[in-house]
Amino acid sequence: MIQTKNLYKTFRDRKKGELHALQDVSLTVSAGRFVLLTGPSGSGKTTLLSLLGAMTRPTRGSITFQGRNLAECSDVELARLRRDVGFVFQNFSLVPRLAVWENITYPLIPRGIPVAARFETARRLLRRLNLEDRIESRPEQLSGGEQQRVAVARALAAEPQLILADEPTSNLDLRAAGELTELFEEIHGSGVTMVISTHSAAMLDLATDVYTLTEGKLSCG
Amino acid sequence: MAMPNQRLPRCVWFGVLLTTMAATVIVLTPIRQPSGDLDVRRTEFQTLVGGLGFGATVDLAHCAFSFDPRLQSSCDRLEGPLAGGYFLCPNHVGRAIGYPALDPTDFHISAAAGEGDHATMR
Amino acid sequence: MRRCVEVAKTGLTAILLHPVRSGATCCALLAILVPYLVGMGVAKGIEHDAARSLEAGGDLYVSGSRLGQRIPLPVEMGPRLEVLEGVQTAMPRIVGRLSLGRDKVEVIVVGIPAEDFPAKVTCVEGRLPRNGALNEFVVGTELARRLNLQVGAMLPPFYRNPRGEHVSRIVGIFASDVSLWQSHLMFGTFDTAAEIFAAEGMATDFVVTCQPGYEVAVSRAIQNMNVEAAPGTGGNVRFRVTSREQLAVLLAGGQLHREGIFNLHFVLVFVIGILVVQVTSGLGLAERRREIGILKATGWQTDEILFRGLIECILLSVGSAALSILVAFVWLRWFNGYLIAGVFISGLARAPSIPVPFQLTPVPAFLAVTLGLVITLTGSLWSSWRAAIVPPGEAMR
Ligand SMILES: Nc1ncnc2c1ncn2[C@@H]1O[C@H](COP(=O)(O)OP(=O)(O)OP(=O)(O)O)[C@@H](O)[C@H]1O
Ligand SMILES: [Mg+2]
Repeated sequence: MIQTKNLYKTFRDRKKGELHALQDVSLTVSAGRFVLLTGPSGSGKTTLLSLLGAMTRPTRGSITFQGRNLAECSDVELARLRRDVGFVFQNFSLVPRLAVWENITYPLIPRGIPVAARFETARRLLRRLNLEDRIESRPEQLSGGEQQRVAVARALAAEPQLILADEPTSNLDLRAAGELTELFEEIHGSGVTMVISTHSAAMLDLATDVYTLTEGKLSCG
Repeated sequence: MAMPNQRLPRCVWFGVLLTTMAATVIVLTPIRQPSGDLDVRRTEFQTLVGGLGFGATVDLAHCAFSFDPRLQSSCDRLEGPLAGGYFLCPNHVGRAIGYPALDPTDFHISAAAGEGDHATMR
Repeated sequence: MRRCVEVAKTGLTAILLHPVRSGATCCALLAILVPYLVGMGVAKGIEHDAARSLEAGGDLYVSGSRLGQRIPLPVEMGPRLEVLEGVQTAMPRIVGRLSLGRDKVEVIVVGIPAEDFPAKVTCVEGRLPRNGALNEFVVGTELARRLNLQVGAMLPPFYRNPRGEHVSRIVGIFASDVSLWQSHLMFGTFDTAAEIFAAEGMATDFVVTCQPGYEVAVSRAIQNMNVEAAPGTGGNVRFRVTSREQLAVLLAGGQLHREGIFNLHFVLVFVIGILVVQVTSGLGLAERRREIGILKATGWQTDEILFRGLIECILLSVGSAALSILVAFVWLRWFNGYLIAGVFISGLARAPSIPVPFQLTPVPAFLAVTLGLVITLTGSLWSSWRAAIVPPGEAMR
């Protein structure tokens, strides 16, 4: 489904000089897999995920998504590709002034889904994540864990074929993390491909593949 | 099907719609013909004074031309152009109405009249 | 189609997302558009009044000219004008200027022969000056207010001539709604006016009415009249003729507001508009960038994001323009242009004593919307576009 070849990502900083966040990463994720990315802080997990989700461009190397090279895709094509991907950001990236349900269903707007149906979708997802009563709240009124679940709900709203989640359980207590893990298991069960970066061991049981990143280098297991 | 609470956007939307409609009505309403009485009075006044007043000025303090070009055919102090306009006459800055001077050369010596003594309108 | 509708609806949400930015833009647009609309409205109103002034006035206005300067003509010219073929009447008129009182209130003295007064008028509260009775006046409303005059009031001597000083009597006050130009008028008989300026036997101009179709011929004939025809002027006098046609051309072309107000606003709009652009594109820019990044990250296309921004701008500018029209209307209608009318009509008091003439018309309204749109678009579309073309990860940072 998604494949990277000799991927490099280098950040240039005036003071620190060049910083190689990713070095020579080659990774293949086949459809239906449940991939876990682990590694210490600063090892490049977020960087890799955002490259996979076409959020940034690699410095070197190529990414192929459903058989298409991202470097050759037009802006419109990239936007279409992103619609098939649900992305859970590590920092949540919710729009502060929008209500929770609007945040969740913003990806559905360009598909022309009317407001009532969008609201219903948000409600269904929030019920699943035990947040139904916060549907009209604003993100700033939510705790970190609640915001994280809203970010997860947004990633699921468009029923994507691939979910890229960046430490989706980092802010959750054990119970909530357990419930989320169950949800991911269920979604994975319905045939969705998952790539999840995490520090927690809870998901290890679900994973079909586990990769470890150390200082930008990928290793198996 | 449940609907979200959208009171604020609706209010803004209706606000914009109402304002726009009101503005359209104001703009499209033809100028109200003054009531018969007023109309008579206005014509009466102009007849009484023999036709007086044309521009956006109510006195002769600075510029009779901008009061009525029939009293003075041009403004001496209009000197342009400054950034696209005639701005030097203090009386013309900001005036709602401007108009060109009546042809300043409308009096020239008529060749037809000979001797150069007579002026004619061009 | 559904897609467009749903994206367009978020344009409205976008306005609410940045209330400070939207509010600032709206206020700035009001600051630009209200004076513009008031000016244009007043110009249109004056145009209507001017049309009536032309209609009810004479066909030709004849005055003297020496060394290129306007000079008065002797009243004896009247009969000479009247004998020209096609001339019906030639009424001498005095229009002069003086200032009264400690405050130097501007006065326009107008004198018309008493024989030419109508028997009865309704445009005056009180009556017209009587024939033969010197120093009777009808005054304009602003004059009456500034000098605190009522009908029947006496005016202490304000001029001297060889025959001494004279007390004047106010016999009438013009109705405030008859005209913009009555406000500083002091209207009396021709003889009274001549007395005031110690200019017996002279007229500022002659108001000539012609038989239909004779205007051009008469005007030519007057200008060809012999200089000797003007006795008592010291000779060397030419005749200056202003025809109704000359002024009517200005009205018909709608040329009236193209100069003063339009140019003023040209500069004003540019200055303020540029400020608006800076303010609006600066306010909450980082937040907007992030938001656009999030939209892109969740699958929005650049064109959808720009469309959303466009709808936002259209709503803002249409709303602001409409609000400006309402404000301009209320200001002119119910507050009678308090403060603002004086900007566009010279000599007007802060609180005008006359109903300010105005009419808001579609063309300026349309221009106001366009102007608002251009300003808001330059303010936001550029920055939106900049944020929308980079990969979302960069915009969100
Ligand atoms: N925009 C950027 N500019 C400069 N350096 C960056 C940028 N983004 C990331 N980095 C650097 O790249 C390296 C990898 O960062 P990344 O965020 O991918 O780590 P991570 O594995 O997600 O860490 P964590 O577990 O703390 O989230 C870090 O050293 C970080 O400082
Ligand atoms: Mg990270």
